[in-house]
Amino acid sequence: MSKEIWRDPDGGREEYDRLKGILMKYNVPEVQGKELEGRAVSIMANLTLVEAKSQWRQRVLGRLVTLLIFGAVILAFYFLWGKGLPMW
Amino acid sequence: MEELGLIKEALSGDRNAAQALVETHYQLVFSFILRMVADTQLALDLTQDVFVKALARLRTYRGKGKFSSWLLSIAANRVRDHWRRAARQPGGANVDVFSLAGQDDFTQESVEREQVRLALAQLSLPQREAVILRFYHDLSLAEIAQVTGANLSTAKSRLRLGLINLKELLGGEGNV
Repeated sequence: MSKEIWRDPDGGREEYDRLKGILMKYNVPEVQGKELEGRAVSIMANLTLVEAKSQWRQRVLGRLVTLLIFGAVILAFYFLWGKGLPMW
Repeated sequence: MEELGLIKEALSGDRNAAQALVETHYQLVFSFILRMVADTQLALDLTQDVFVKALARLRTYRGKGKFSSWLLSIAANRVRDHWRRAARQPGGANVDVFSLAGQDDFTQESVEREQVRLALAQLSLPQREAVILRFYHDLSLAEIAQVTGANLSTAKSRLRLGLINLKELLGGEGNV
């Protein structure tokens, strides 16, 4: 690779373009057409899975919180009056 | 449909709009990650993670700045997270540097491509980020700072040091 390429007394835009020219030699493959569509579909499927997991976690957490509150109320009645739940 | 419209549709649960967003920005995210990790399969996996995370948290996109920059910041975080985890495993963090893809042609073009790829892979992670965002994605310094979560002067110094190191690695002379 030419050593001259790094020399630019003025710098600025010209230097930027020159550096870009060197770096752009490292091109990457284009993902397009059917492959792109396939990747996008796969991402959407993964997203569905992640959302389902998150909803399931929230549901379980919600039930746990409800159970804890219910248990705390029963315990409160038990320790305050020693009678368990009131019978009204 | 314009980008903001697609985002709104995706937020209201339209899967086609979400998929269109993925298809529009896939190459941007994939090319950034591939240049960061220098491994195609890993880049594909990380790109998938980035989009799943981005779409799951689409509500957090406030519309400030470009959507592409927001995606790139998630990608940059995901790559950093990957290297952090890899660093904990013996020898894991250095995988990218010399893992040459199966080169079976030695044309001038392919040799130069490999030179640039290896030089980039030898930069530190923050410097590599700055150089890639500046030269491959044409981001301004302010945008680089936003994407990497650094302040402006840090982004500037990372870019400058990155270019100095790149010059040495590519065998250049003089000031960058």
